[in-house]
Amino acid sequence: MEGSKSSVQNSGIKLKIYKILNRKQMSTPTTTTLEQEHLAHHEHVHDHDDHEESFVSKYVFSMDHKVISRQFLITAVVMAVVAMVMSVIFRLQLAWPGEKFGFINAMLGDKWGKDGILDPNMYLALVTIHGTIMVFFVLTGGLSGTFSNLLIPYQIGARDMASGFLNMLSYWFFFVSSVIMLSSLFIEDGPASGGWTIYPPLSALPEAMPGSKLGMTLWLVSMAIFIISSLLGSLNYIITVINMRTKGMKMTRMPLTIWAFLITAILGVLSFPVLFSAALLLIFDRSFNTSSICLTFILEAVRLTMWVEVLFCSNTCSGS
Amino acid sequence: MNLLVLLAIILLIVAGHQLLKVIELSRGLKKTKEWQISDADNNLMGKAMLWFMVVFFAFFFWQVNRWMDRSLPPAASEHGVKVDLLWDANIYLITFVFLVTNFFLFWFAYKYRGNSKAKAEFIAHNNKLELLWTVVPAIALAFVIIFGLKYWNEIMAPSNEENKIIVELYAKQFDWTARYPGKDNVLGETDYRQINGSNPVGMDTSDVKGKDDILVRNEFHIPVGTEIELRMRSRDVIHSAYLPHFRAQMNCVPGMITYFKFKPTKTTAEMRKDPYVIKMMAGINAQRAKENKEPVEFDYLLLCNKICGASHYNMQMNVIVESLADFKLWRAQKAASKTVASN
Repeated sequence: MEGSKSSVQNSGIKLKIYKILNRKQMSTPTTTTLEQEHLAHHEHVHDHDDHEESFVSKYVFSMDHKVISRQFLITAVVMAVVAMVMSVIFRLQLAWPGEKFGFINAMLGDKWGKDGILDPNMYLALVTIHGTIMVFFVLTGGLSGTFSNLLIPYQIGARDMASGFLNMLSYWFFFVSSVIMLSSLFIEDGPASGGWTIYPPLSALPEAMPGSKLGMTLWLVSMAIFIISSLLGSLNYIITVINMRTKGMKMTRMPLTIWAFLITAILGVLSFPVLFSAALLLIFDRSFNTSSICLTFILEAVRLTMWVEVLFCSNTCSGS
Repeated sequence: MNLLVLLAIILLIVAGHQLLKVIELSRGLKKTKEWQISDADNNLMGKAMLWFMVVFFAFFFWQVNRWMDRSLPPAASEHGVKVDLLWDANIYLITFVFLVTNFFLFWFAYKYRGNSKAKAEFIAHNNKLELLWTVVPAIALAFVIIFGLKYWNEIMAPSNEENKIIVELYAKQFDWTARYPGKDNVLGETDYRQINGSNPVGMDTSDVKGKDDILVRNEFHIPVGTEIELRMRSRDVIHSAYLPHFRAQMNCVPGMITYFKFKPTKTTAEMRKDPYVIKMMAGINAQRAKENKEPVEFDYLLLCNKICGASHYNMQMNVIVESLADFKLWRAQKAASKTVASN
């Protein structure tokens, strides 16, 4: 503090230059930071001039692994809260079947929570979406996206991920798939409700249950986009770990966490393409009249018999 | 009411925020940074860890004791005893590992609590330790997998019993139909194209072997001490035939026939006299009395165990296990009533 007066005078002119060169620097530096800048002035100005980023490129479409990991974290936490509220609703029903809860009615309205009793279809839908969000959006996307992105560059001594752009795409595909998954909660027939494993033919036949209509289509689209996101992320993690370790960081010296991330990513790359093709085949079967998962003639027979059911059997719920 | 709950939650959040602010401000006054933690605080936290462990373990044992009588009664089939053995072995192993690892978790948190005088020791590598935590779980897992595979192969081996009873379980949204072969002991062929209101399971009408088949709904009977071969079909979506008391389960997949064989060892009447079952049913009936419902007796159940639609939860069928003589009588009655109906 004592030498600050002279240093302020000294750097007065340079401060002006600094301000001209660095127009976007909004706050005036305090005396202590001024001293630091005084020492490494030229470098600093150049550095800032090259890397000055707008809000959008710094926090929204960022290619910085730290920001992306935070984006993953926040999105996954939001999804986890949604999934937790769902589990509260269906576990209330499970613990006190037939009991009337104002909370259920407040959350689901008269269509699915009439008099505060959960509708059986909505029960299955909540279980399904809760499972989907927990398994994919929290445990796969949230944990791997957050911690792999944050820790891989830090712990292997890399400057950033191998491809910042792919990393950014990975997050935004994840975001889009989250939005589509959440949007499926607000459609007329309700979200997908065949259990998070989405076994066909229950998921392939729109007639099988209300949750196999538009909700299932949205689920499949969301999941296809999610898998793209996960693959982009996994490939990035693998390349970074293999290619971008700092000097002396041999594979055998890597921390256990990095080994765990690497194996997770490899397993993801091995398993998700299979899921992707399955989701794609189901989308084609449901929306474009192909018959890869259910043979068409069987579908026709099932449609026929369900129709027969509705006509002749009163104890079935499939038609109502 | 909802509004009150919402208000309470908002107030809680505000209170928490204010509390944090007070801590921040007091820290400013005391001129300490948030990472400067006194040894007294460290000691307190270390001891709190131990107390947490005690409460946690006490809660665990209380839970196990409290819900013990809600598990399934002892297995009522021959292979079910093996399944239970495997289950018990796994549960004891897991409980042991759970107790040991959690004890160390809290004990180390206490033992190595922060201390301003202690110096950290840097360990780069320890072969012995790594070998220990790799080999021990590997042996434990190998034990679990080898025994699991052995029992699985025994349970799923094709049935080669001469006098087995064949029962077909036909699943559809949302009920079960059981089909017995008639005198010829052969089930008739089926054809999905012939499914209609009067032919619900799609019997092939051109196949004479199916003429004497017996269809039953709501409950089906099986004899004790005889091997039962279940053949499962589904009309619409994947269902799963689940017989919890026999420790039996198999998916019913549309377009294919799946098999499961088992040998019941206790009749329904015997099961109703089992002390565990009596206690279990007393608990259930006490709860039903509270809800002004009729008391129920124990029955073996066939349930659907794969989400199949809105009424999946209610897709079930009673199973009656009786002596072979009683079973034959029941089957003869069913066959007779069928001929009467068709005449």
